[in-house]
Amino acid sequence: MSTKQISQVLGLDLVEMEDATCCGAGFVQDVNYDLATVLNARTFAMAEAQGLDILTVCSTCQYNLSKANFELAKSPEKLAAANKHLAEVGLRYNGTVKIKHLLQVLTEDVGLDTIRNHVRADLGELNVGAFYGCQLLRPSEILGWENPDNPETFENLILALGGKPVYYKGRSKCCGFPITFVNEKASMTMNYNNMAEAIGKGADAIATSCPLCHINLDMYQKKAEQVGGGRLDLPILHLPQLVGLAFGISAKNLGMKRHFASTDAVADRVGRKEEAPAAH
Amino acid sequence: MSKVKIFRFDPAKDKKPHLQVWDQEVPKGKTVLDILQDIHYFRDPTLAYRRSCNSAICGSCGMRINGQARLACNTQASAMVTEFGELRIEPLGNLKPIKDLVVDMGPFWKSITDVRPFLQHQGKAPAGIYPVTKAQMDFTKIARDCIFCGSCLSDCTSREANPDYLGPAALAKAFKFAGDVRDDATKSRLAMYSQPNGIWDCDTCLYCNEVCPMGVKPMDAILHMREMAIEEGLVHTQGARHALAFYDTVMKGGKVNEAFTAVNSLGRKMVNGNVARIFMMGGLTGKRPTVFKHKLTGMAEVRKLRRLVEEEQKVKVHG
Repeated sequence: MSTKQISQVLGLDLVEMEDATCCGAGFVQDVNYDLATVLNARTFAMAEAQGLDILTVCSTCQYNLSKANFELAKSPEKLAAANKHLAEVGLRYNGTVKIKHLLQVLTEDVGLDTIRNHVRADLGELNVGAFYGCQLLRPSEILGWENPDNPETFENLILALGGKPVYYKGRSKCCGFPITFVNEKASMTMNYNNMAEAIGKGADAIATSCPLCHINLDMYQKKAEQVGGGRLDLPILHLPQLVGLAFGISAKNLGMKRHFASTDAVADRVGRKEEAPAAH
Repeated sequence: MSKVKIFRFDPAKDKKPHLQVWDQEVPKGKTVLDILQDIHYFRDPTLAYRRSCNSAICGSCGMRINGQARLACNTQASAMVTEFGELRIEPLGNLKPIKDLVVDMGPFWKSITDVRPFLQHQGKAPAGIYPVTKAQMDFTKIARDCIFCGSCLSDCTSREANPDYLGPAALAKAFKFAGDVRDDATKSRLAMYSQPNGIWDCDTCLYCNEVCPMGVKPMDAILHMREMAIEEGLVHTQGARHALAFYDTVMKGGKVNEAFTAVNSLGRKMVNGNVARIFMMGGLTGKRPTVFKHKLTGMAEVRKLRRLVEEEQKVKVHG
């Protein structure tokens, strides 16, 4: 919902692909990798037919779709094999669709200058730790839009929005989500260690580009506290929620009341920005 | 002059490790290993590190360079200074430092030997040459170039949280044998690797694929083995159950249904567990998506594609 709101402000025309399947999230790939590739090719073919590129708001979708697209583009045999099946349902993919994450679109296509021009609220120098989610940066061979060793895009966006980026090692590590059901202790250890490190570096809140990270960092925060043995009480925002707050959209309309870890401390700090004085 | 920061630790003298800062010439063309040699030969002979071939083939000089595991001998030092403003050299992660940049590789080798890294025949091996096609060998290509440098294990986020996890190098090695047509123990291997701390404990963070200096793709190897394990009917592990539960909801409705995935994945464990509480709370706050989702209008297409792909796979397997 927050993505739709900020897109409206920015004049981005989003077309919801209601008939697209799930990207597979790695789990469909675990069961049948080739089928996952063909189903993702179906999604690409549908976007291509409408002349659209694909926007994701999830690091995991970004990786799984990009990987399928990368392999189809690299291998004419794979593309032909996928097209053989797609032809049976009246579709064809030519390999022209680009897959971009919201963070990329905001920083590369919209641009930080335009973002700055839309800032209507004062984030009150909120210290925000970016949490990229591991599948947005690696492997650079496939994603390739940002340096996974030393990413800056998210931090630059936080600066443009009027926040203060907090640098910590865990920002590009794993939140633990993919193994929460397999090894909860290990998952919660990752969760706790990354968040405790961010707090130690002064973070008042985390903003994440991945809703799966959000599930682990927000919904499982109490469990992570039990495993880690300390308090976190850390508001976890979705990337578009942070952007929306800076654009002056209310916390409620951004869905921030739905979180498990209270975001009130963040909402309370956000103030109306003084109107810029008229030029003489 | 550039700042070169090196992790120092001498257990005979130091209670804790520290970073020693050197002002050092870092001219273009010198590798990180060259810089270590310069310091070792001309400034401090007590600096300990491993090196041997200087050609990125022996795997001795794996270390953390500006936060990421790399080989010192094929990393340009000046490029690091340009990118990070300094050169910071630390020992491999997830392994205990013995002295300075030298770590105890014991746990690394233990994980490798734990996966039984040798061909296992059950009396079927031919006496002479064992002919294997290129296509058959290509299947395990992503796992064959390992030089045992430890870089992947160093940066593995799952191993960091769980020292008992076998880790990427060992599981890539495991795949090299599980995926080898000459090996007769595929199923028992996959059953072994499916145990806790094996293939299903990978958190798919992709660090291993990224940092490997040889282009090995341990995570892809792990995912291949997950698919192979399910094909072999090894479906009673928590990881396989979860993948299948997720898969089933996507095949039924086209999108993932979080609630059904959790119930089918965890089964009876769900009733009293943490997840049930979180799902209840998620329903109340509105954080959890609705349990009842509309199916895609194109579900017939999805089912047809599934049938086509599965039919093709059957032909491939059974000829």
